[in-house]
Formats: sequence, structure tokens, C-alpha cells
Amino acid sequence: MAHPPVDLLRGTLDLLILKAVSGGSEHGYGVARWIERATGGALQIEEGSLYPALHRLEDRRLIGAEWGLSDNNRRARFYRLTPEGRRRLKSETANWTRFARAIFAALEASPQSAPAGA
Amino acid sequence: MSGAEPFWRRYRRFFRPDVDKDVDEELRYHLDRLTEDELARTGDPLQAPARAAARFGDIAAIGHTLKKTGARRLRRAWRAETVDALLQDVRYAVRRLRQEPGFAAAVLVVLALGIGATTAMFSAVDAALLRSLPFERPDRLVVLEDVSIPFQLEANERGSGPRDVDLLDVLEMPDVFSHAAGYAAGGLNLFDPDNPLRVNAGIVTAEFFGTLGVQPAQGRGFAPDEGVPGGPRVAVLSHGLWRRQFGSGPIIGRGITLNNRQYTVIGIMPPGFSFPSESDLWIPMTVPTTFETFEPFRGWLPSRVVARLSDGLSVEAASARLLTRWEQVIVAPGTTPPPWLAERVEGFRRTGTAAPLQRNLAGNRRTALLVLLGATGLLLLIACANVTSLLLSRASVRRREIAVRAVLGATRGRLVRQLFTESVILAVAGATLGMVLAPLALRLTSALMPPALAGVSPPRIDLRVLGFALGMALLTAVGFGLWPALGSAITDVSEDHQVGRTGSHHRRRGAGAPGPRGRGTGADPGPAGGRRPDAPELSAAREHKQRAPTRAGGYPRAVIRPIGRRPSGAPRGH
Repeated sequence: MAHPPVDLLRGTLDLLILKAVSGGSEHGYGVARWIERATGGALQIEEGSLYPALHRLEDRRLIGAEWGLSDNNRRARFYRLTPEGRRRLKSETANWTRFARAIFAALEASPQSAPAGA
Repeated sequence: MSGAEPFWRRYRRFFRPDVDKDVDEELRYHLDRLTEDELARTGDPLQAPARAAARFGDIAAIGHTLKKTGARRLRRAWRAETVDALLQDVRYAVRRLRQEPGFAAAVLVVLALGIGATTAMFSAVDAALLRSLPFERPDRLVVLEDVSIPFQLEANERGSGPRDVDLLDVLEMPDVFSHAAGYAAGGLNLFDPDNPLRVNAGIVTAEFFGTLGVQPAQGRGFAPDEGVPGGPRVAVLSHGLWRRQFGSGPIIGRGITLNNRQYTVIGIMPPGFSFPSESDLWIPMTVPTTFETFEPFRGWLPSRVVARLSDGLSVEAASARLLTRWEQVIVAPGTTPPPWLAERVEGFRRTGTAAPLQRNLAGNRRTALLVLLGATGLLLLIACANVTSLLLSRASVRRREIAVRAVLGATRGRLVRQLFTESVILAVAGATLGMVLAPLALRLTSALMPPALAGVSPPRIDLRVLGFALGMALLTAVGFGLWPALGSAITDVSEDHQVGRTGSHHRRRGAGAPGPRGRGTGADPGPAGGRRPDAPELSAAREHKQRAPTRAGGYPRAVIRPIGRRPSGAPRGH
């Protein structure tokens, strides 16, 4: 039994998608593959949650969608960051980094120094 | 990348995004790529599709969810856009109207007079004919024609000769009339050392309040022993008299003096009840009546009988039953009825013996009111026609503005809507002003109100009347606005635009100094000059121009894009 799939924290998928399309236009399949690659296969994005998330972000105007031709010359729906999405990506990245550092710091700290009753 | 989009798709998207198809296509693409992956990994063309499908999960369910949310999103976007456009239209229309105060004032006055008069007439008709009387189940109340209240002397001889039907006969028919009461109206002097008052008195039999189904708000109504000759003298006050004359203080059980006679106040009616004839107070009419009953009224008062139909009985059936009674009592055994009674019964055979109370109270004013309502309706129509001609003459002045907007990409529908919005705003403003005028007109029409209804159901401006006025406003907006709107929008745009360009007969306010906001739209912003570049298409064009200033062919794109619906997810670009 290998590592169990990591549960995505709420909002994490959105952040990953924003990151995935920040380099330029990308279609849904590309987003899924990119996340897999970028996380070294630790995160497998289910299609059942990927597309609702994409459409939700589109609805919030964080990403825009346009039909285009894929590298194998087929019609695909491409997503790209909107200026607002770019701002959101930046602020969320900062949030996440802070959050991760905090958790990490807590996990590194010695438990004896924890407050009583913990 | 998006430039490679097939050409035809643009045209379809021009009208509306095709959510279902988009979702299907997007998911299909993903599945196909997964299949290719599997093929590359396993090299097994037979197994690859199944493995890909397994990896993907329930594609139908995912697609269904996406389609549903997509459709919802589309609807929401459409609504937002509609509301946006509406607000924009309203702002623009208000601005246009403020630019032409003379025109706006003329239209408003004409409409206010028309709508005000119609509304006042309607409220009178409403009070007299439509609104139900403030009694319990007023549709069950009937007036019995020519039924008398027995007089004491005659009552002793009842049954000995030909006579007319009286209240006692009616009371003997409880299966036809569950309640019946006689009433009359007269004036009395209310004694008060400081403030003597002439009051309208209702002289009513003890059953009166019970018949109408209205009970005193305080105290009690008349008891049976107060409705017979020689009974105690009691009075019931109207809410209005109690408030005006007695300062809403404790009054029940106290005495008041009417025409030098002492009466004890036993009750106060609820506010709004003043039947008949704006009564301020009620005193009992005894059955049978005596000389004393009518003594304060110079010996005689015309009385009427109101009755409540027994359950399930129609007015016609009750009328027929009463007619039978008439036929019985007008003959003495072995004689023929006296001619005046025979004639009266003959009349009843034609017209019936009972009539609904409301119709009876409205009387012959019914026709008059309806005719007047029709006449004011015609007046409103004339007002509409006048406003239409004003709008039409204005439309020719506005041709250039409309042409510019059409060239900039306004659809005809949008132009019609814009012009129509102006009409609706005018109509609603006119109606508002009309509502101010209506009470004044109402004072004139109240002279037309049936006198019997005075005080029972006074005309007033209430929600029904407001609703009516609003309906009139919208109707007039359609009446006067639609035609000019259609007419101006469906003109040959290219021709008009040229006329507009070369025409020097149009005033060019502020054209010399186009403001910074107006610059860069690529078109003359219309008669309003640079000061008001806020016609919807202008701002849209500006927006696009700013977004893609360096793009080759950016201008035609800017003109074309706003016509169609935005693809659901396209950024709005603020």
C-alpha cells in the first residue's frame, strides 16, 4: 500500500488551478496533468471535481475560457488567468505559504512547550 | 490561440453560448486524451477506452452537474445584463428628458391631467359600484321596495282589509329573510351648552345592526325591549361623533339631549360605520311606529327596509317569495285590490320586490358614473394621442442620435427598449403627478356620488386606486410610446447617419470641446457632443478600445462585440 491520496484542503484545488493556468492558456486535461506532474504524482485530481472547479473559477471571473486548438490539433476549451485571477493567485500563494510555514513550525516544535491542556 | 476558432462558431455564439454542447465537447476532449494516454502506456488499443473511462469516473453525472450549473450561470448573467441595461436605459432617459425640460413638462402635464381625471373617476366608480359595502357579507343584503313599517294605529287593524306588505310580514318569513330591519334618516339637535350640534340621526329598528352584521365597538346595540313603543330612550353614537363631540371620553351610560329629550348612550359603533346617510348617531325606531317616533321629524320620515337573505337563497327567489306575499295581502276576502296597490304589485312583477343593497344605493347614478368613466377614458386616450404626436415630432429631431447609436452597434430591440423606457418614465411621472391631482378632481366628482352612499363608502385614494393609476400609466406608455419608438428605431440607419453627418441643421451643443471621456470612441458621440458620451454603445466601444488599443482591427471588433451576448465567462473588463 503506497501513500494514500492526500486530501485536498478546501480551496487548495482552486489555488492549484490558478497556478496551473498562470503560465498561459491551458485546457482541463492539461491542468490535471500539470498538477500531477508538479506534485510528483502525490495529488491526483479527479475529473469530477476538476471541471466544477474550473467552471466555478470561470464564473467568478478569476479565469477566462475560450475555445482553441490543442497541440494535437483538436478543439479544446482553454482557460487562462484574468487580471483579477492573477491578483488572487498572488494573495492566495502568500496566504498558503504563511499557513504552511505556521503548520510546519508547529510540527517541528517540541510538544513540551505546548500550553497546558493541549 | 483563440484565433483558430472555427469561423461559424462565432456566429452561433453571437446569439447565446451553447452550454450543453460546450460541456459535452470539453469532457469528450478530456476523455480522448486519457484514452491516448492509456494507449501510449499499455499499447493495447482494445483496452484503452475502457481504462480511460474508468479513470475518468461517471462522465454522464459530471456532465449533468456542469450543464446544470452552466445553465444557471447563464440565466444569472442574462438577468444581470438585463438589469444593467435597464438601469442604463433609465439613467439615459432621465438625462435626455432633463435636457428637454419644455418637452418633458408638456408631456407630464397632459399625462397628469389625463391620468388624474381617470383615477378620480375610477375611485368614485370603485366606491359606488365596485368596492363592497363595509358590512358583513354585503352581497346577501337586499333592499325591499315599498315595504312599510307598521304604524301603531294601523297595526291594530292588520288583516282586516287590503294593505301593503310591512316589516312584520317580512319578519314572518325567516326562511327567506334571516334578518330584516327598517331604517330612516333625519336631523336632530344635539344639546350642548357650549357646542350645540345638528346631527344626522339614523332611526333604526332594533334589528338594524344585527341585519347589517356590524356590532358596536363599545357598549351594545339596541335590545328588543328598546324597539317597542314606550321603551327606554337610548342612542348609539358613531365613532366620529364620539371623537369630535365627546373627545373620545367615557360616554356609555351617560345621557345626551336630542331635541329636548333625554337619551342614554349605550354603545359606540366602529370607525367608518355611518350608514345610512352619514349618520352621527342612531336611535331606535319602534315597531310599530308611533306619533312619537316621528315627532322630531315633522311627523313623517321616508323609511326603507333592508333584509339579509337566508342562506342559499338567491335575490330572485326571495323576490318571488315576497311577491307572493304581496299578492296575498293586497286583497281582502271577496274583494278586488284597490287600483293603487294592484298597480304597485304589477310593477313588482316586472322589476322584482328585492334588490341588492349596493346596487340600490348607487341607484340611477350607476349609469352616470359608468358613462363618465368611459368619457374620462376617452379623455385619457386623447391625452395619449397628444403625447404621441409630441413624441413623433421629437423623434424626427432625434433621428441623428438614433442613427449614431445604431451605427455604433445598438440593435433595434435595444433602441426600441430605450425609447420605450423613456415613455414609461414619462408615464409613471405623469401618473405620480396625476395622483396629486386626483384628490382635487375627486372633490368635484363627489357631487356625483349617490347620496345614499355618502358616508357608507366614501371615495378615497387607496391601494386599489393606486394600482389602477399605475396600470393606466403603463397602458398609456404603451399607447403613446410604442409607435414612435418602433417608428424611430426602424428607419434606414445608413441614410440617417449620412443625413446626420452632413446635416448642419442640428444643434451641436458642446461639440467644440469633446471631453476626454468622449475621445477615442472613433465616432462622433452624437448631438450631445463630448459632454455626454454615455450612450450604452459609446461606453461599450470605449471599453473595448481601451482594452485592445494596439490590436490590429481593434476598432471593428470593438463595434461588433457588444451586440451579441457576452460568452458566459468572458471577463467584463471593468
